[in-house]
Amino acid sequence: MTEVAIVGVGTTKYGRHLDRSATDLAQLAVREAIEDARDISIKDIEGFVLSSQNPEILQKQGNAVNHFSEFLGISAKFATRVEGACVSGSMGLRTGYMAVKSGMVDICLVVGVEKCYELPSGSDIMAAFSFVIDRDWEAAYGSNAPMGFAMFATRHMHFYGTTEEQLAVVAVKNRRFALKNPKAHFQKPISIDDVLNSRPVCKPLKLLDCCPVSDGASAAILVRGDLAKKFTDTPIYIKGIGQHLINENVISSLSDLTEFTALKRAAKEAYKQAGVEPKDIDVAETHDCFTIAEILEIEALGFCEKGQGGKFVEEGQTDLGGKIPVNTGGGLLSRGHPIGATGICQAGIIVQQLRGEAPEGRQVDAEIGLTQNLGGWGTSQAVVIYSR
Amino acid sequence: MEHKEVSEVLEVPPRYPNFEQTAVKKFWDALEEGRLITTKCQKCGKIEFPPKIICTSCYSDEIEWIELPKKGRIYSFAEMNVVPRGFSPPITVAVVELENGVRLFSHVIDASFEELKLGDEVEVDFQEMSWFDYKKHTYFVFRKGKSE
Repeated sequence: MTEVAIVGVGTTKYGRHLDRSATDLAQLAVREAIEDARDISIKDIEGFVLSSQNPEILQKQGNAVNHFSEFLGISAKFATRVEGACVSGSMGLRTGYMAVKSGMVDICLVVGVEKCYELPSGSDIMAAFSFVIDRDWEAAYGSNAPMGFAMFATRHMHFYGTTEEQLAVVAVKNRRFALKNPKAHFQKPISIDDVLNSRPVCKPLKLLDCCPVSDGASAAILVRGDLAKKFTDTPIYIKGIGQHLINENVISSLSDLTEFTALKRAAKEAYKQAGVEPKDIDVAETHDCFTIAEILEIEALGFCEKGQGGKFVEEGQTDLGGKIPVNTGGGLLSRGHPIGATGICQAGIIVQQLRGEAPEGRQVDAEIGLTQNLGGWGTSQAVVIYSR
Repeated sequence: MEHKEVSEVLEVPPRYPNFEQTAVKKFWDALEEGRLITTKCQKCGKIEFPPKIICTSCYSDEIEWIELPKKGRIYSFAEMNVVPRGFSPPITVAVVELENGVRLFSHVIDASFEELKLGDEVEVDFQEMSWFDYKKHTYFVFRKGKSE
């Protein structure tokens, strides 16, 4: 079977880019990915996948795949745009992977982009994000993204004794990693007290339990495995790619608010394809849109037992030197979360780790890496496993 | 800190709800009469919430409307401190499991976050709420009732 390799990755800094348009950001990320590979020009790109959550509302721009192709200089025999809220990036990777794996194209560019600080006010940006939850059964009553994750937090705290301090450990750890990542949104250190004393956003979650709104773009070049060495000395292979979508979109429909059931299924599929187990993973980037999410993810990915996530984090098992360093790029909490770009940025961070190119202070000696990306209330999940 | 610049007020653009979807319209019309109803499949017995015109399990369209129980218990809860224009924070919200196992999401109108715990008994009540169109519509809410 054809293998699929990543031969180039690129990303913009995440943050507020008041002087950059969505297409500017995409160009910057794509240029970096092309320069990261060897002997690839934009003319060589045969397949183009665009992951973007909301250009229709944020930029008032439809037909995004055509629009971006103009600015990126892409003429492709396979092109599509994917959207699945916050998991759009990994859906894009999976689409690009399928295009290469099927033999449809040999070289596929996957680009994720979101440009949020373009609408006139913060309230408009938040309104744009309320479109991703159910309009009639959730958003209509004043809800937005933190609500569902707060529901998970309340129940996880009740049944497993997970504490606000344990949640804060996640935020502080990921911020510490972000300080070593110049492309991360936040660059100032925070303490446990800063997290605990930050204002409530959706109790029990506080401001520093939540990821920010960010602008940014990330790109990855996927090629047929047998061509990979032509484009880089250090190809990183996609060994497993699992996805699961469960028909529980409204918060009251979720059958279990103490775990990410869809993630257990996506992970099982990815582990099976890659022929590995949780204990074989050396480094992971997970979707910590809220601190509680990282705890639910390390449990569902099998890094620790169900209910033990808070304790596992508190013991430093997800930090450098622990059993499984998680979110060494700063996570969504501190690296930022330009919705469609996140899954692709996660891949870039794992590629950097597996090549041994991560800077000191967040370098892990890793052979096998994993990324996990989610949409909805964790009911749409994707897991990718990579190796050298 | 950059976080702070995200406004505390968010505006959801007006949009009239999907009243033309038959199942949803029927649900909303019943709320106006103080009734809480949903759909049940007559073939396989599955109760759906939100109500639907076809069963998502066996795909039969032999649907009957049933009354939902008005009593339930708190399954999980939260307190929204950042809410759209038209709502006043804080708003206590909960997922409530009704006596027949159906779960609903809405506001808890008479208890703060600190006053709630999992398993607390609540009753369904009806209240006017602002919708996207800035008009008032009757909706179901939860009431904890007198405590202790």
